Amino acid sequence: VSARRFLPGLIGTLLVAAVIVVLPLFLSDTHEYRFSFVATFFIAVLGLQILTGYAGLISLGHSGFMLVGAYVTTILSVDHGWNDLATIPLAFVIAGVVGFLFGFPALRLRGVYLALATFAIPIALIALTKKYSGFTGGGGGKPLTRVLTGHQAYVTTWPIAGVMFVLAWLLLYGKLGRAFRTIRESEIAAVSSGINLATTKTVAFGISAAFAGVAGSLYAIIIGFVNPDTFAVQLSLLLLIGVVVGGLGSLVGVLAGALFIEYVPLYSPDILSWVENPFGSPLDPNRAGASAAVYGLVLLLILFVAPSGAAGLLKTALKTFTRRAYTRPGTDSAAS
Amino acid sequence: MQVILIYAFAAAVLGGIDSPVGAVIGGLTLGVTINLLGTYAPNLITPDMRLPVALAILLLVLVFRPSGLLGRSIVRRV
Repeated sequence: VSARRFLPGLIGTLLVAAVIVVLPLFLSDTHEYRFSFVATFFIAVLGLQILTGYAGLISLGHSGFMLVGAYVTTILSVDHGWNDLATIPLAFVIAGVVGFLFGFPALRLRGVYLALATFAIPIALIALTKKYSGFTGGGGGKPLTRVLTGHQAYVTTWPIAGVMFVLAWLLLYGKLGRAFRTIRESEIAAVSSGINLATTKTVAFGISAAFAGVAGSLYAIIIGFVNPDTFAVQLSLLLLIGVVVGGLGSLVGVLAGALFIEYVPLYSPDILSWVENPFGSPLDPNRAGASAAVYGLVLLLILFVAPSGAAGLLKTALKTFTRRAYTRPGTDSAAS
Repeated sequence: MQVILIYAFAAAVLGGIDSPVGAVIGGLTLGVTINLLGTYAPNLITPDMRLPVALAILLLVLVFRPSGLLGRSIVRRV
């Protein structure tokens, strides 16, 4: 592996990291709080990216794995007196084990069928959470021991997001990541190259769910309260949208996906109020479903403009620059 | 919508996803089983627990008999 190949990515990552470090100086507490949600979505989208973007397995169950992480943190910190940050590694492990176990039946399914089966995970876990209310706090939710300010939430979540990003990068650009990508491209080619299909797929599920568990755990910590209905299937769909907006099979766009999840629903009523309807009167932004419709339109527009997500867009933008940089003057006509 | 979709998918997999007759049999089997469980084990299978039961049946079928009751097993040639 040549260092030169990774240099642009490394520089880009360091630049983004620097921006994230400096950003709290310019943000109000409210916006720091919002931005800490971006960090949790970042981790969850990273996890789903490993599964969907790299291993090519779709999942609508990641909000269920987030629920597992959130409840590991809540129950240990409230009922057993753990430091809430110390529960995060355990949330990683337990959500990972749940995902690994779900990986076995998921081996039988592909495409739409896998989506449907994973669709049931959050629904079933929410029902279980509500049933065993003595243990989990039930449908009414359960408060955590402390409530974070925006700045505390920011400085708690982003370092962990950074660690998870490095972890994902190390996993995906080693032997395991290569196995994931081979499975995505062709299962037959993967098997004939000596990759154990069943093991690799279940491991992909496990790792991906572990990331979602960490995200869920942080989500609970920064809200200071857990409620099972937070982790409904809609959240899984948002995560999948985040992966697609970021660009499948690339770590470059994950941050863009996470920003999309947090900020587009927030600003869609504003977007709606800018757009006048053709018959003169502006649409009522408060009408039920209006902001959801705008959200859908924004998503469609993004998929039209950048079908391969933010990563694809960045690649196209950089292409003109890199082509010039890597072509010697006067050798061929490709530079013109 | 979600709820119906999960039951329907579980029933289709139970009957065999490529078999129309299997869909009918799977649907009846799943519906009757869940309601019988709800009647005879009301403490364990509360109305909230019906969906997890459907999911459990779905997962069991996928692990032990992926082709369902009537479906043909698909063998892929490499």
